[in-house]
Amino acid sequence: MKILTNKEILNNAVQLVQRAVSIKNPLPILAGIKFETRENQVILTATDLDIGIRCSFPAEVIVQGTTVLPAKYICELFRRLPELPIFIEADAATGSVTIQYGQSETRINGYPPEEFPELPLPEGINSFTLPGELLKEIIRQVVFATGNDENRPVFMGVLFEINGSELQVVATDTYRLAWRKVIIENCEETAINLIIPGKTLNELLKIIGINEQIEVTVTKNQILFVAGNVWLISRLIEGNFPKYKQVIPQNHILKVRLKTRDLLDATERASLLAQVKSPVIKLNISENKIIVSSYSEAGRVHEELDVYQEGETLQIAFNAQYLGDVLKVIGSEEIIIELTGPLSPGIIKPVGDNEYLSLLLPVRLREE
Amino acid sequence: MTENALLTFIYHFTANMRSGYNIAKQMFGVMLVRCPILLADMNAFYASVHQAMDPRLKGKPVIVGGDPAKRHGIVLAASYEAKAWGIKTGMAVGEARDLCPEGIFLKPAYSHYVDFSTRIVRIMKDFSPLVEPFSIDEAFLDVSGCGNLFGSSPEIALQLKNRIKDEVGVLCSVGVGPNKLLAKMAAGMQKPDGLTVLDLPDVPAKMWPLPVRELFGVGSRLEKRLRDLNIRTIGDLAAYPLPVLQKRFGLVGHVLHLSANGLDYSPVDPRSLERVKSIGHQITLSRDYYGYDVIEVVILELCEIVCRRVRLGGYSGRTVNLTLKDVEFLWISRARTLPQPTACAVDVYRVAVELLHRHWPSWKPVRMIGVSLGGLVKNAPEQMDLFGEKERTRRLHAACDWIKDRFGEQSILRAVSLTPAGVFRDRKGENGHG
Repeated sequence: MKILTNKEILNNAVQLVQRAVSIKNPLPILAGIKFETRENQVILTATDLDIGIRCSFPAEVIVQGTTVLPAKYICELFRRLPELPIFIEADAATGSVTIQYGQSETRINGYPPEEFPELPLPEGINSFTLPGELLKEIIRQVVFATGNDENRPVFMGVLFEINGSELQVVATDTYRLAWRKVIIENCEETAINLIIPGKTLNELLKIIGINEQIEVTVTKNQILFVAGNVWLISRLIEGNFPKYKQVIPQNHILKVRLKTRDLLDATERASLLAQVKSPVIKLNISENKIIVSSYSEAGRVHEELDVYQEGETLQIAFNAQYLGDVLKVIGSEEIIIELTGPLSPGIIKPVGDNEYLSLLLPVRLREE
Repeated sequence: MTENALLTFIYHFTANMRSGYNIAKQMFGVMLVRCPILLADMNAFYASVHQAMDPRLKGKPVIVGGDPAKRHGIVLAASYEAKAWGIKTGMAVGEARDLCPEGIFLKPAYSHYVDFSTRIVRIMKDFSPLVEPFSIDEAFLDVSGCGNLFGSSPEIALQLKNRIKDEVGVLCSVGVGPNKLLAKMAAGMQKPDGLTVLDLPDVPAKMWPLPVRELFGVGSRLEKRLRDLNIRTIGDLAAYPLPVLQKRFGLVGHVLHLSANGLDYSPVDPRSLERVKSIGHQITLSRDYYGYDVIEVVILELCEIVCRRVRLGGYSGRTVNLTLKDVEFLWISRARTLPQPTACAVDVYRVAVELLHRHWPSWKPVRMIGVSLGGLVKNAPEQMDLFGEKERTRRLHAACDWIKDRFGEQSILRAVSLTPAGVFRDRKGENGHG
């Protein structure tokens, strides 16, 4: 293999795929990035067998071929290369790879490319497209609610439910739940139900560029996202997502409307002085006011926010971290909070929008 | 400005009450108590309690220990008369009987020990409210502000010894020092019935020649690691370069360096015993247990007992610790921390079993199992969950706790306790204590 390219293109591609490189895996080859040529394209691939990322870019291909290079060294090297034409030449006989720039060269020992696992590209069973911006927003709005308990893998993923042209996306760690609905255009009439690992979606967030259409292809146990020249393949989580709809309260005894920013700022200040082990803040809602308070050995916070209130008065306590997570991603200037009782789930949603809601379970405070 | 007004001014001006007090002392000649920290250590406490309650036992070799008929009965305490026969704490009761046939062997009576301990602490509180019970037979006392009331600290120590002897009837060794560490070291220097002052200038002469094992905070494992550095005496440790100790032992290394030099900045904290840090239970098995399945039965039973006690105290905890001993009494202790605090046996059990599988080979027999729950918080707020699982288990525990409160600990059990591997049902049936 011999190619001619430049630093920027090369570096961008390597930084993109190296996210899937697995350093800890017992298979040493997985610590490498595979380079292969196809006509006048170079394709880079990395995988940890859960997630695979590949990225292609145009280059002057002088000799076709394949090689695998250790990610650890080339990531650092390519970042530091000068702005010059760069030749990469692999010697198939010795496995060593020469990188030439100007008068200089670096030689790195590669891995035998035939040992690199083939990425099993899913044959399209179902596919649809989504605007990149929208997909990014959906992911950001729900992925924070995924859990990290490996004993319950279903809660480490995000449920994508497609029914006709309607896509519903849900995540929960059983302490909070985030739900988003969108209408997808140009989708075949199908019903799909799949759980995508939260980790995959977090990686996807970093890959999606602006003004891109994302093609999504789904098989029984895999999902492929194609964003321009980048592919991300991931396994799916097996199992049944719990019936979440029945736990969303249908009625409420109290409804308040207020500015997102006000509550977020108060929450963050109050959480500073909450107990370290359990950052709990209290919300006292009455007479068109929310009093946000917290205390610990270090001191206490008392904040009053003016709100528009409908219904009864109520005192409820939340984990400040969980409340802050929702408020950061809700993406609207004003929110509505609906409550049914001090120990029942609270609903937080944007004003005038029935496409998003977040459910937050309160904490039970015990008398000292 | 009157003297009083100035005193008040200084008092309020300095944020720290104690430093305000010290400034006041320096300015107006209030008597400064040198070496204000006392440690009272009861001599052969359990045996002394029995001797105090029954005058016929005075001057006799009294040995408090487990039931000699049982294989694991050991000596818990021996009076000084018994110690003269070569009897040591921790020795098997049978062995003690061979050494001292005339010995008077008694079963422990914990409620009396607690009662005596409480009376001693009450006497100490007559001198200063700053009393920190350290164990059942030791307590620290801070007499910084008592100079004008009771005199110098050795004088206070003598008054304290006499009152404990007259009013409670047991002897104690009192150590006097500028901090808790030196008070503790001093108390160990003369036994029984001692009174030792150990001030900072005495450290090189009195403390440095001692073997490093004698230093407070150095156990057998640390001693071994220190010996690898050729540290044998406390003086060796004090002279050892601090950076090497820090590199080797981290924070502990720094504390060791300070301790060896007689420095300790920890305050006497009257509430330290009120803060429970962990609750645990362990059991020595009457036979070797082979295989995860039977070991797990005992672990589950222990989890039930531990969590019941955790709930009784109104706590929940996050750190699960599993201790296992094999036939040669080699032991391991491993811990893992949960994301949310719990007081539920099943949560603790799941982690304990994980620790068992990870750290104990399945073929290895087990002789002792211990489970404890640490990182305890009182009245911790409880995060509700979406599908109501937590609320359901909470109600289940509340119901079981209610049944046990009403009808006794044996009234409701897990089914595994009825299998041959179960230990708690049988034992309690035999000797009726929980």
